[in-house]
Amino acid sequence: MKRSPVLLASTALLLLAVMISAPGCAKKVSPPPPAAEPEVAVRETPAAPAPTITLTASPSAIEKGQATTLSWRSTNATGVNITGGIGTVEESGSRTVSPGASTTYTARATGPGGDAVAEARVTVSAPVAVTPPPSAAVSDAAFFEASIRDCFFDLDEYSINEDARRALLANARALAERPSLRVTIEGHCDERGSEKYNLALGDRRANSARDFLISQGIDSSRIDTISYGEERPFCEEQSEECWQLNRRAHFVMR
Amino acid sequence: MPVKTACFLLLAFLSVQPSLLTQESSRVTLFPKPSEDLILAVGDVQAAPGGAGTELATAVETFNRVLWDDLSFAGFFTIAGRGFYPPAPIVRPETDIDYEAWNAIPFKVSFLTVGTVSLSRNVLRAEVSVYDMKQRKRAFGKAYTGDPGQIRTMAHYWADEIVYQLTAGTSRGIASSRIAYVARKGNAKEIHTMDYDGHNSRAFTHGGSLNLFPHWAPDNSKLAFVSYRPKPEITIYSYLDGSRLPFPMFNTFASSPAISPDGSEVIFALRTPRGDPDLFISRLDGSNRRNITNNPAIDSSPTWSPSGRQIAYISGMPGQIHICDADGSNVRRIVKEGGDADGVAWSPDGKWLAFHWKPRRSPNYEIFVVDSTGGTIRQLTSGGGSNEYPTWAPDGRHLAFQSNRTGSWQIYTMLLEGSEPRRITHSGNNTSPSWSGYFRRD
Repeated sequence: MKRSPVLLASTALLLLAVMISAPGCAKKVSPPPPAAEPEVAVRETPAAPAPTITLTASPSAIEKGQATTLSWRSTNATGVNITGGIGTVEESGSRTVSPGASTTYTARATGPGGDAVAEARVTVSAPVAVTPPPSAAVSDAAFFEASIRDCFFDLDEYSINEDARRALLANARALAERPSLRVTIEGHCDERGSEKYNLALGDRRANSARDFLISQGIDSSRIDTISYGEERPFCEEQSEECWQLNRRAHFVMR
Repeated sequence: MPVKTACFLLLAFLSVQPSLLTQESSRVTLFPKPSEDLILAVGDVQAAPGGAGTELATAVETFNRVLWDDLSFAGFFTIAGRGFYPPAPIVRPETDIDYEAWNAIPFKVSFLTVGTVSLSRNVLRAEVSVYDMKQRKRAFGKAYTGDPGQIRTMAHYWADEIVYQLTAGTSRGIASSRIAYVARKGNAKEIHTMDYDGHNSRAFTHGGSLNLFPHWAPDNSKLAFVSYRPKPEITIYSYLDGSRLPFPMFNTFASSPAISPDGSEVIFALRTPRGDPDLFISRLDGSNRRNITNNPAIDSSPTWSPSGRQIAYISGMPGQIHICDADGSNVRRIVKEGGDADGVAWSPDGKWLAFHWKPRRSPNYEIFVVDSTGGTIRQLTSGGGSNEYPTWAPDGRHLAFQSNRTGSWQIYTMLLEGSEPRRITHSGNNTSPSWSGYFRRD
């Protein structure tokens, strides 16, 4: 930012005024001004107070795609400007920003008494698939959406296979990280078995997933289960791909 | 509401209460047992003298069609082909039956049913008789009165009366029985009931949730089923007044209820703390609940033997048919061929288990029966889609089941030996049939 000529001139004038009004030696150093120039005028123009500004980002570290809030408060400013594409803003306020990369925001307050600068750095990290950093700004729903996944079962099985185990381990970590989160596990089956049997098998699958989470230290009171058997298929085509999709423990937030 | 269904039922019984036309001398045993030689001719009922109008004509036509279907499906007698009947209509049987003409047709007709239908001031009356063609006299008869909407019911009652009389009371006839089933309504499934031929369908539940696996109490006084409230719970309703019986909610997983033959208890699958469903028996109010099966496998789909002393059920992964005593002891596996079975149903005479089964590598389920002591498996369906959930008619000669042979799930009925399945539902998706006991009382 360049200083404007007007500012330079007014600063020089102020210095001059201070020198003129300095006690003790003024009369010795300088000839008296013309009578028409009253000292009063100089005394009635005190130095304008310097502006102040603070800028914070909360949280200061986010994952890419997430948002943070910039807040600023300025005093003695006639204008506030923030870098990073925000521009001229009110004297105090806040903005939600979602930078794609780590960014240092600079806020400059200007006023008759000068200007002031504050900085806030927002660190942006690549998203962590399973365990996003804890953040009060992310809702349970968004957290659930980002970190909880379904797991799938083999034909006529309710045991946890290797893929399901990986998914459930990730779910257990996420649930451990977000103690406020409570889930219902729905047990589903493909259509090829018979309905009565499948309703029982769906219950068994939901329970297998629940038992696994409990074995990973998740409190049982946070996990409810319900079986839908083959009543609520995700996919209605008759293909192995579709049947596999329907053999699942489906997580929903409650 | 279920109340409506029950009200209709009561109305039907009150207003079509059969009144006797003749002395019940014909209650005596006509035949020691159903005879292969018994040939029945199903003569058309006629409009009573002086009757006219399209409403009466429709009633007469309906009565004749329903009676024919009922008797030809009953499976007890040979029905003489109607194309050979002497053409003269029989209005006054005492004078109109030409025995010489009937003797001349290629069938040695043993009995002939005839009758008249009248309609007066919106009251329909059917007077019907069976004539003994050897003795040349009336054997028995009935008169039914009701409103015109009950013409089918009258024909069913008469068909059942004929079966009852001509089998010497060994069967009461199934034409007035009903079938409960599950009708899919969008994302919901509701319990419906219908006549055994698919007519007169009525919604029993209107909950808008999932209602599954209906099962009649053997005396038809109750329907037990699974209802999502919001977990699958055992739900028992009175079929007489539509009220729900108090039964504990478990809030976990409960399924496949079946009321005992004496009507005092219910068996059902319930999740145990171990996480797998076992079978439990309790009184109808949930008290005196006790664990019958106790193993880590899935146990499901129980059915009572008619004596109430044994239980057949599905256990394992995939499902295999087992039998145990009603206290859980003496467990043995019945079908040892592997594959995947469910829907086991004990026949009313105790001799057979019907079930659906998918032998290894077979793409579809088919209906089978096996002797309840084990033994040879007999296949009853083949070749059309998947055929599942057999349920016995109270006469033990008929089964209903669900099939997707047409692309949608529909209910079919079949005579155990010798008939092509009849499709009795036609729209939407309909599954889980449960055949009632006998409705008709003597």
